[in-house]
Amino acid sequence: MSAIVQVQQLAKRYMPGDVLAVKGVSFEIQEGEIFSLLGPNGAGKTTTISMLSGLLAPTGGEAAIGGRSILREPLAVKSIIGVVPQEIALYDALSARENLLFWGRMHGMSGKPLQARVDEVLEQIGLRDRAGDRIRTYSGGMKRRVNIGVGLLHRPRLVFMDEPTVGIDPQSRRNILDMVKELNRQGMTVLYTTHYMEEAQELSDRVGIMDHGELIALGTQRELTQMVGEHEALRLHLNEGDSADKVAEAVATVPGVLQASATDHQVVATVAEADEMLAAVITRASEAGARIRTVDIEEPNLETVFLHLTGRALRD
Amino acid sequence: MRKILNIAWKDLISAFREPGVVIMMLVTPFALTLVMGFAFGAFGGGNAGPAGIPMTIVNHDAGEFGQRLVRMLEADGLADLLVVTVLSDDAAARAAVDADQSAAAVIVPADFSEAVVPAGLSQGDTSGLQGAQPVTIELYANPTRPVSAGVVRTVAERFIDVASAQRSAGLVVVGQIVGNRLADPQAMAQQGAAIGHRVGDQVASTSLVRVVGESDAAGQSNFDWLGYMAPSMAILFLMFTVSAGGRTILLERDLGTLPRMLTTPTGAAQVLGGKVLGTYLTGLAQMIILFVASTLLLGVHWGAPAPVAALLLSLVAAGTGWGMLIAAYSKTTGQANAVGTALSLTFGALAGNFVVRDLLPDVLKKASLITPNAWGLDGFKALAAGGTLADVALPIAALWGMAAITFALAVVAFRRQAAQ
Repeated sequence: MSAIVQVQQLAKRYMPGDVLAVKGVSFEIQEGEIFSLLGPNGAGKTTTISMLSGLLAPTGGEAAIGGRSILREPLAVKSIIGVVPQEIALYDALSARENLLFWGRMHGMSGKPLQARVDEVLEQIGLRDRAGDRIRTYSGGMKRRVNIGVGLLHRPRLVFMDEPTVGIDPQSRRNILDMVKELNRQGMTVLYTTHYMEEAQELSDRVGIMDHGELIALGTQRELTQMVGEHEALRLHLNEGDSADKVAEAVATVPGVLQASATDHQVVATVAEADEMLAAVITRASEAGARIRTVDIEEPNLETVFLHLTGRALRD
Repeated sequence: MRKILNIAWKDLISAFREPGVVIMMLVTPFALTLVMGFAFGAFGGGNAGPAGIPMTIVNHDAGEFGQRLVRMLEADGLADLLVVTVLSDDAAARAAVDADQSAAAVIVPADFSEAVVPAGLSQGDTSGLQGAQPVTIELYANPTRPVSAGVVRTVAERFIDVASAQRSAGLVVVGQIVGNRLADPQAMAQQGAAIGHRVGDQVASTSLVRVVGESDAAGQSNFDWLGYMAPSMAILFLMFTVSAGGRTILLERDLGTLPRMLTTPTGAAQVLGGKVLGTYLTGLAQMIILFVASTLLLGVHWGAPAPVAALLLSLVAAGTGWGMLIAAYSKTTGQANAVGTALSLTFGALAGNFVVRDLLPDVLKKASLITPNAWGLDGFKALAAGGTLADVALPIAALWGMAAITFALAVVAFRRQAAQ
C-alpha cells in the first residue's frame, strides 16, 4: 500500500495571539484504509480536515494528497477528495435529486453520466423513492444520508467524513457505519473523525488520537491498547444525582487503582486485575455516597487508552 | 462558466420556491401598485385624480359676487370635483372641517360685493373708491387633506383672481364717470350693480375646470398614478430582493454550503461570480414579471420595449452591486438583513418611491442620485412619456457606473475576508 495522505507538522492558528488549534500534527494514511481521528470536541479534528480539504490555510507545515500539495495545487487535490461535513450542507428548497445534480456539476460532472451517477447514489443511500421530494421534508437521518451521498458522487479516491453520525437515531447511525464499511470494501480510502470510541473501534484500520490540537497517539487498535498494558477498566454506572466527580476522587485513593475519572454519571477506574479490585472499588464508592446501578468490566479499549494518556474520559 | 451558471440557476430556483420571497418580490409590489392606483383614482376612468371633494361654503354677502361664487361652486362643471354644502354659520363650517367631514370651508364676508363695487359715491367725489377694501375670502383648510384642500383653494383663488381683475376695471370706469360728473351717482349705483352682474357673468362663464387644469393641483389630476407607481414599487422591492440575494452569501456560509462549494474544484471567484449572477437573474426575473403583469393586467405603459429592457438591465446591475456591498461589509446575516432593509427604505424615501419624485425638494432630488431608485425612476418617467434610448442614456450610464463601483468595493471586502 502507498500513502495517499502525507501530513507533516501541519499547524493552524486562527488569529494572531491565539493558541494553536492544531499543533504540528504528522501522519500518513494508506490507500484503501479507514483512518479515524478520535478525540473530544475541540481536539482539532475538524480543523485538520478543513486544512486538508483546502478550506483553511495552514499556519505551518505541509500536506500532500495523492502526491499533490494542498498549498500549491489545491484544485487538483479537491478533485481527488470528497468531503462530508459535520453539519448538513444541503439546499432545503431543492429535492435530493436536484441537490445531487447541483453538487455533481460543482465537481465538473454533466449530462448522462451525471444523471446515471445520481441514480446510483440515490440507490446507495436508499432514497430513490423520495428523490423528488424537497430536502426540507426529510428526517434528520435521511438528510444525513443525502449529505454523505453528495460527498461520494464524483467517486473520490479519498473521502473525509467529519462526525457524520452526530445527532441522529441509532438506526440511521447503523446505516451510515455500514455504508462507510461498504465504501471501503469498494476501495475508497476514508478519513473519519469522531468522538465516539465505539465508531472508531468498529470502523478503523488505524486510529489517531487527538487532544488539545495534538496527535497524542497513532496506530492500530492493538498497538494503541498495548500502550495501556494488560490493564482493565471497571465502569461504575451511578444513579442520577450522585456526584461522579466525588466518587472518582474517592475511588482513585484505593490501592491498586491506577486512574479514575468521572463522566455522565459514570466512574471509570483503570486497574491491573478487575476481579481482584472489584470489591474494594465498590466499597469505597459506596462510602463516598455512590448508589451503584451496574458495574462493567472492560478489556482495554480506545477509551482506556485516552484515559491513560490524558487522565480524562473521552467525552469530558 | 458552467459552474457560475450552476450556482446562479440554483439561486434563482431557490428564490422562487420560497413563498415568503415570492410574496416580497412580486405580490407586495403589485398589490401596493393597485392600492396606490385605487387611492388616487386611477381606476375611476379617463382622468385620474381627486374627485368628490367635500367642502362647505358660508356666504354672508347679500350682494351679487357672493351669490355668484356659490353658484359657481355648485355648477355642473364642478359637480364631479366638489361636493358643496352651503351653511349659514361660520362655526358650523369650521366644525365640519375639524371633524374631517369637509376638506375646506370657504367663508365669504358680508362686504364681499361692496368691496368689488363700492357704494356711497357722490357727484364729483370718488373718495369712496380710494377707501375700497381688498377682496378677501376666508379658506379654512383641513390639514389632513392637503391635496383636496389645495384643490378648493385653487378654485377659490381663481374666482378671486378673475373678480379682482374685473373689480379693478370696474372701479376705474366708475371712478372716471363719477369723478368727471358724467353721470349721476345714484344712477351709477344702479350702473354699479349692473357692472357687478356683468362681472359676475364673466366669472361664472369662465371654464373653471379648464382653469384648474392649468394649476399645480390639476397637474396632478392628469398624473398617471399607475404608470408612476408600477415602476416605482418594482424598483423599491427590487432593492429588497438584491439585498436578500447578497445576504444568501452569508447564509450559505452559516449553513455550510459555501464552505462545501469551496471543497469542490471550484475557485472562490467562480463561487462569487455565481452568487452575483444568481442575485442579478433573480432581480431581473422579478422586474420582468412585474413589467409584464402591470402591462397586461393594469394597462401600464412603461415605454418602448427596447429602451425599457436596457434600463431594466442596468437598474438590476446597480441594485445587485448594492446587494453585494451590503453582504461584503456585514458580519452576520442579521446585520445584512437590518442594513439591507434600512437601505432599501431609505433609498425609496430619498428617491421618491413613496411619493411623486417631482414633488421632492431639489436637495433630496440631488442627494437621491446615489441610489439606483432615482436613476431608475427618472429613466422610466422619460420612457413612459415616449422617450427613446437616447433619452435614458444618462440613467443607464449612471447605473452601470454605480454597479461597477459597488461591485469593486464588494470584491475588495470579500478578498479581505478570504485572506483572513
